Amino acid sequence: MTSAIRTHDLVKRYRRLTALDGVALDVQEGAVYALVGQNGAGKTTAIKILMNLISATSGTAEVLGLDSRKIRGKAYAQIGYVSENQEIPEWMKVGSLLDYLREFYPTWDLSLEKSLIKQFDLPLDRKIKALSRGMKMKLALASALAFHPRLIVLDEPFGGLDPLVRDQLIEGLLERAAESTIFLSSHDLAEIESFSSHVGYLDSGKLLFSEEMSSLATRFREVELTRETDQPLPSPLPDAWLQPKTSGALVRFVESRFDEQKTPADIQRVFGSVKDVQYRPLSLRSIFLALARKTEEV
Amino acid sequence: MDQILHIFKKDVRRHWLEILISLALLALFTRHELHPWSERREMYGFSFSALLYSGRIIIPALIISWLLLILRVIQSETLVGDRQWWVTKPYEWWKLLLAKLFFIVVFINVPLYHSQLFLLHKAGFPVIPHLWKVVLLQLSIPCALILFMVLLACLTRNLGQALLTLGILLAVVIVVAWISSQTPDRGMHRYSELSQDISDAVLLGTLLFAVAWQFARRKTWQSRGLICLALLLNSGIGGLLPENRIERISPLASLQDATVQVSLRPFEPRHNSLRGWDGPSDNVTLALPLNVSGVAPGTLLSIDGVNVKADSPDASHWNRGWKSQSGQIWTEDERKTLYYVLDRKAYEKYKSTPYNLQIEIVFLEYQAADARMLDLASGTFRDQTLGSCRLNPVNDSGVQCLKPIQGPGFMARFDAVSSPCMDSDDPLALSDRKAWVAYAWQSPHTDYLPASNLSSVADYNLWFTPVTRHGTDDPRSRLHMSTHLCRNDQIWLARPVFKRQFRIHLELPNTRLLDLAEPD
Repeated sequence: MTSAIRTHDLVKRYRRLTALDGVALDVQEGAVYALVGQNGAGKTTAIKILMNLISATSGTAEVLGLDSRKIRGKAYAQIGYVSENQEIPEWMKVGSLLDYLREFYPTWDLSLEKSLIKQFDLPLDRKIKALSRGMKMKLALASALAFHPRLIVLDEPFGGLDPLVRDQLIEGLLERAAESTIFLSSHDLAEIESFSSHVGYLDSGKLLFSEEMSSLATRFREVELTRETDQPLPSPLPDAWLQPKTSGALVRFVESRFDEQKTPADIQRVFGSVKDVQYRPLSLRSIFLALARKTEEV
Repeated sequence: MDQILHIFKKDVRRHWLEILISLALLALFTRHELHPWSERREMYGFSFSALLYSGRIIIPALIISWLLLILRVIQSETLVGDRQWWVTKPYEWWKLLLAKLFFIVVFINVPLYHSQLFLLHKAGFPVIPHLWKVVLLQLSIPCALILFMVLLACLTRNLGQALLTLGILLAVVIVVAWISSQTPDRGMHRYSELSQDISDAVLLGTLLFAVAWQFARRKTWQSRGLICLALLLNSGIGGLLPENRIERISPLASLQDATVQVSLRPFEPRHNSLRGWDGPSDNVTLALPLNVSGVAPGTLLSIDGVNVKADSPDASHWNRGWKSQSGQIWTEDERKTLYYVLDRKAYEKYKSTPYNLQIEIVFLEYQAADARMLDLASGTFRDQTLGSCRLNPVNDSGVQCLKPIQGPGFMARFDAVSSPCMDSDDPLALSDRKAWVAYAWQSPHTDYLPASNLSSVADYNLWFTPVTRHGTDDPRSRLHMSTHLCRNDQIWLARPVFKRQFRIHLELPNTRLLDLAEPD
């Protein structure tokens, strides 16, 4: 498979602040890739570099095989970009904006446009200025989908939206997932988990991991075990064990490199014999929190 | 082309109100310029209603409407920032640039062009021979203004930021003008044509490149830096290339070679007038009275500048550099006074010390060509050189003229004694016939482009000033006079041709500044 997005050692510095620190991304074509991280982790900066809205301090980025610094003009005819921070021309009416945009895209699909208008319930005669935030996002997404883009880039598309609008947007997005690569950033993990195929975790400008959602779900487990005796936690614990907690003989931690053979062996090596061990899968949100707290501890 | 028209149509839909306002103001300007004789405007004072009626407010309002139109249309796809919606759409930068320029041409240049042709037609001048000249007229002031406005629009994010930048620029211009006013030789530096052309070309090229670069890459700080660099280079090129200082381009002529005989006149006692409420000004003006003679008929000497150097027997000396002058010496002139301004602080320091003053004067010499006599017919009359003219109905020492594109350079002489309105037996006239001669003058234009003007019809005057004879500049003299032109007078008219630039040197020993100072 070819890469829709690939970055190598991407660095962005704003004077003393390092917003991105050696980020290496590889997003395969057809993937639904979620870039997650706390506010200020560098997600928007990364997307702006990919969209050639700002320049990287060093490193390279390729989007659809093109150096991101060369993305301009016609190259955007293959990319649908939606950001919560975009300044849409609010003096236009919904219909006139779509009419205006249609001429820029050779692949604009009028029937798809109509179906998106219907699906998102867009009022064609209303001025954009008079639309709610949710409606504006739906309009932005409709205008980014109607030309069958090869790549859809969404920067925090669901922030501050009510659940109904969010579901509509996700539904609209998923219907086009088969024909496009979707790259989105978010700090709302619950919505990402339901439809992302890949996830990358950005923390303070560093990409801590980037992998398939299924592999992530397999790799992270909450481990709960009961020891024979009540004693302090041995030190040091393996690096992959996050957030270790103890309560009497009970020990709980998050295993970030779960392996059916290796993890029980590690437990045996660290604690000796234990009475009971349970391995529970984690939600993306729990994984995210475990990683975030680990970073805070560091 | 499709994308250009597509963006253009969107902009027209968006900015129809601004377009209408600027066209309405252009219509008002055209209507006002249909009656260009200038005395009508001079009758009004400075109140708001006077401004409105006199039309003085129309041109500033028109220019402001263009500024707003250009700011709004370019900033509807703003080039500053990274949150704009359009930057991630398949806009081709050069098509966007052409769409914006097309908009400006269609709604500013084309209407102005038609207005200018209409004004020519209504003033009675043929339109077809002037089609190209009117295009050139647009290349001077309107295009310079438009380029400035486009740059402002490209490099600022919104109207507020643009207006703030404009205010800052205005403050910078005021500071630079003040600094320049404090430097010696102001108004007297002359660079070679080559260095002037190079610095102008560098500045224009860089400004145009900055616009294109901003559209292509939206690197706002780079574009701003480029413009600052160009402005610095523009002011620095004159320093890098061989500078034509006054002394270099004005060779020293001996008094015999100087076309004019000049000597310093004995000082006359100066009487202090009452000081104004404001007290003495920051500057003191030194008056240098001259006797002049020997200028051949058909020759004009324009006094370009004067420099005074002072040396004292105790080896102290001072010099405040060249100061520009604006007087002329004609054949019949006998006396002139030059003025040299210096700051009061320096004056107070040096005023009582006797100095040997070294005075240098720079002259530009012009020769008359294609000389002829012109009859001042009654009413409006036509002349090939002057255009459409009439005697000034408000001030009869002038002839008012209209001319396509720009007024011509001219040398004009009027001899009142031979005027049909003058009693040639008047003993006063007979006492010094030359004292009744008056001259009018306008230097020839040397620029490639016409003089800056929004109107295609130049509205100018031939103001006749009497020559200065011994005694005629004394208000108490019977020969103190002004010129009165009347119907059927004849004036001598010629085209001035620049011949040379030279300077002369005079010495004034043992002189105190106190004796030269004009009273406050």
